[in-house]
Amino acid sequence: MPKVVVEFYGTARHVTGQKEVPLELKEGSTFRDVVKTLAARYPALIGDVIKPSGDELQMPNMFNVNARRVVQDLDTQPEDGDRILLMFVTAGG
Amino acid sequence: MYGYSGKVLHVDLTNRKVRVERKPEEWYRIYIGGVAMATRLCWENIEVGCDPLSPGNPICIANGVFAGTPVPVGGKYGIASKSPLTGFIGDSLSGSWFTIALKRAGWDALVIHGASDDWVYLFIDDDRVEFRDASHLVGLGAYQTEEAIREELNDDQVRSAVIGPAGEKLVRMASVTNDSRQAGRTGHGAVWGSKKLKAVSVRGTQGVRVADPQELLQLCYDITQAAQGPHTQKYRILGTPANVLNLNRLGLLPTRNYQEGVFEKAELISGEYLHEHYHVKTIACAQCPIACEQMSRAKDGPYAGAMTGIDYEPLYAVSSNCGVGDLQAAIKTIDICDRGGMDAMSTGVTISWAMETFERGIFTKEDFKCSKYPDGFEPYFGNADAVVTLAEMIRDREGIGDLLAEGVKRASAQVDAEKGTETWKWAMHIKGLECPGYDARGLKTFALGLAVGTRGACHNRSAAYDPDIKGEVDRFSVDETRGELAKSTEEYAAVYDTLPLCKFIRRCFTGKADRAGAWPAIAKLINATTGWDFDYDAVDLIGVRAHAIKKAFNIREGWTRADDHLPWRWMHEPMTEGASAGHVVTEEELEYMKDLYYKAKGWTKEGLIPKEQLIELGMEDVAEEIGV
Repeated sequence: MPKVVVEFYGTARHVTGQKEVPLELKEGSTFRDVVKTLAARYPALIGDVIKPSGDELQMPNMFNVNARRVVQDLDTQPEDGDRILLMFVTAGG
Repeated sequence: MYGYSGKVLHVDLTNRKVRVERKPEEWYRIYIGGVAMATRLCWENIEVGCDPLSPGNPICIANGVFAGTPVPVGGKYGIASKSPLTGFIGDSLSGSWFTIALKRAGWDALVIHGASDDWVYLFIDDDRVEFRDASHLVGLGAYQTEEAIREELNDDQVRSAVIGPAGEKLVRMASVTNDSRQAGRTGHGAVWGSKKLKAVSVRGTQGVRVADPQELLQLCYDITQAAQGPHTQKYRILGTPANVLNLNRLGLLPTRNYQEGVFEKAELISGEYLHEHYHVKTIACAQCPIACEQMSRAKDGPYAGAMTGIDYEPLYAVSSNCGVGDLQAAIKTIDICDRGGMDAMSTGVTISWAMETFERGIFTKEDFKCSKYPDGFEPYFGNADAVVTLAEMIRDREGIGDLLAEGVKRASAQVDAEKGTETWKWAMHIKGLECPGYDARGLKTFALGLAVGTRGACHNRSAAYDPDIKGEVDRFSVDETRGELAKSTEEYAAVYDTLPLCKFIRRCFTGKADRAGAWPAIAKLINATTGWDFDYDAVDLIGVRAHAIKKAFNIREGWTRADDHLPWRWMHEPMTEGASAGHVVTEEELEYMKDLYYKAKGWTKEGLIPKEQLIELGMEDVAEEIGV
């Protein structure tokens, strides 16, 4: 079973109080499943970070995998060992 | 006309005279307000080729179309002069009450010509203008000046735009301050100082007439509701300092003068840490339902009591980029900049250049003698007190602060000329404007956007980091899409900067920040305010025209293709740590992207604008002067 770590940034970290969480996923799990798992474990994410449906990220939040690529399709699958950064689109300042 | 008075106020400081200019409605439809209108006024009133610190460089202030109306985040103005840092267009924005007062006084824009022999401030009391002695205000900080004028005029509703000591001393990165907000970056404060203009104070008692008040109120109600939701949450709670950890994780947080993109003490300067330990309250500009400014106070240690609003860009510049992992020192440094009236970004990047120059042995302790440290001090990276002290020395032009007050481009050129060194290789600027808080080696679309930027290295005028960070393109490589992306993102930003609306509202119209999500709603706001018939295309054209007049200004001041450059470091020295290690923007990549960009803009290979393009935009006189 693939093991991943989700890192929380910005609002996600603020509302969960967590920097990161390790997840053990079922074979064939998608990034959407990661969203669902997070929504179930951290209901405070629903609203500002995860849409009320519980299976989609609220804009402008996104998943960045290993700080290299952004997940464009939640129905694709993470790989074992991935570090999934839950962050928002950086802007302004 | 609705939404405008149709009048521009001209003030001649040399001869102490005023005149009123009436502009036709068609002029307003083209230039709208904010940076486009201010730049256009600069185009019309400048002595071409003048020294930016000479009387021939006008100060041009343009309200927004929505200033003084209920439109959320519409209380902003644009200010333009020829920049003392770049020699090209210096266009800035600031928000809050000053622009509302100016609009209510009956003026769409203000142009200040010439220079005074003695320190003066203007008091615009609706349609009456007074030239008032400002000699007693000289030396006061920005906030003190605003307060002193309110007391002197015995009216707490008077709103002022002012300069602090930095502007008085012609520090090239000096800002103009109003209502504790700054029109920063391109050195407006120095232009004001060169004219011995300490402040412009305004009492406005009239209303702003809009075409369809009921429609406008309904539109504003809906946007205000949306502005309380998830689309602005990141700004309301943590503010832009939340960017610190994101960018650090992506290997893009400028560290030790852009030598690296990862800072080992990033957690200690993060928005999260700031919120937990030093946050005092969150405040908003006038006319803003979001409230993003995180007022923060140093609570103990040598900087206890320092308090100011903390945003990401000043924060990175004076902390990670100087190797400092101490938020209280950062608060103190930014407070010095804000009260002194100077741009904290340019100040921080200039200090980081001085620190690297010291660490390389070109500067010595002897070079850093000052009243606080008569024997000098050692400004190695991480020396928090050195950053604080150097900010004060720049503000006061004390000791080496006199050199640093010239900005990193001029300071490095002077040192290299005197010592035969190559400090320009780590002078992080574009066109003379110090770089922002995103390392462009790992954001190649943004690298192009910065290189071609009309006001230099500015993250606000080009939003080209957006496709890179969202992953719409590979941020580490270049391809044929980048020219169109750089064009599209800069013109998108120019719409907001011209209305002007704060960009933090951009997702609150429909939930989507793109043109399709925002332009139809903005068209409705314009139409309800002015009675015009703007649609999607007309809104889009606002940005095209705004960028065209800024570019035209630069061309007339001598811009060439070679001015669209990147700092040497970004083109030759890859970072060694983090997610963006190993990358540079090569000369070949940059020139390739510039070709793509000029082509996307419809310009010549040399980056000049065809006459017919300017004529199509309604700028016949501009076409005549600089079109090819």
